[in-house]
Amino acid sequence: MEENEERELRASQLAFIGKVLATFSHELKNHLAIINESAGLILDLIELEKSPAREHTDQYVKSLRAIHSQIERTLSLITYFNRFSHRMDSPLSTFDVNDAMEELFALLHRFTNQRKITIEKSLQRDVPAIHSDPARLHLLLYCLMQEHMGRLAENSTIEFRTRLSDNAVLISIIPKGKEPLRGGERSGCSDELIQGILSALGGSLSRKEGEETIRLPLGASPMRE
Amino acid sequence: MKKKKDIKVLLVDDEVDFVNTLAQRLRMRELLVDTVYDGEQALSFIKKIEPDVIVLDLKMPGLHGIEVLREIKKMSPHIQVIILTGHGTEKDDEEARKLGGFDFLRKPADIDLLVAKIKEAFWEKVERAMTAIAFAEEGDLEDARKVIKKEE
Repeated sequence: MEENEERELRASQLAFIGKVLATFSHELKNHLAIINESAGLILDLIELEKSPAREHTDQYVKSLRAIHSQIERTLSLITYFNRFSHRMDSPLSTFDVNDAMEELFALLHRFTNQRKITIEKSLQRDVPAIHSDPARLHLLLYCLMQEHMGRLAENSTIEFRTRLSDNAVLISIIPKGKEPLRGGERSGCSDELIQGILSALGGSLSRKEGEETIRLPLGASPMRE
Repeated sequence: MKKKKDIKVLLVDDEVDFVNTLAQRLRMRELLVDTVYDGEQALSFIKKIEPDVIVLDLKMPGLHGIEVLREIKKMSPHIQVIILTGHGTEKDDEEARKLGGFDFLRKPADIDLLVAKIKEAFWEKVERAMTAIAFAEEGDLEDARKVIKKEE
């Protein structure tokens, strides 16, 4: 298969996966909405007929409120999941880097939590949107996060900072914690893959004293239409 | 003064269980609620009975919610439309507001928030109608029309 055809196939596969995930999360939201309204209706009816004579009323109300709170928790995750899926709709879009990072961290929370790694965010709120490929940026951040997680001991922190500088959005990744004795082993993605993603994003990566900074220019990238 | 019970609401959503349960909860909060299950039914309904506020889903079989909103605003620009969707993207939100949608909520919305938005939409409609009447009484029909259509 020609390289271009292979690339086109990969892009179509990614768009297809994105579509399936987005549809799936939409369906889940609808199901949750029905559960939410049904629990809400029972709660309304209980509140309406509430009297001291009724046994277990408080217990019913407590359980229904627990259903509501779990729905809200799940819903917040699904909203991130839905946004994440839509990032694959088209190769290029205009997006807020902070939003893309927030959704990635929310979706990977259990993964980082299991390794007892805390993700710390210092995101500059007013960074301008960039025109690029958010799905590739997700992959790049995941690769770098995985690399640090492979090196850091439990109970460490990885800080992600964003800021605007010289017409570019900078994302700094700062590991805070001890590297275990077994350290030095490589995990995550290959240098070739990381460089490939960076070049597709029109960005660059610098490393200094264990910190990494991704530079994503606001202007034209090689992929810009 | 119009009571809450007199605020006519139309719920448009293809999720039958959702829309019927939500309707029941809104009726318990003294709103007058009708339900339909797709965009075509909504457009036929408003030709017969005009609601004050429509709560409209986006992703439905047949007409997409945005198309339904466009048609509603052509037919009856004074009807307030609140989008309530499980799907909505930022682009949908922007498009809905551009077409004159009153607000954009995501499913499942808190019932008290939804009721508050419905009331807010209703009172904005009343206020606009009164402003339009004032313009019309002064003979300024053009401005009266603009107020109704929410044009600058």
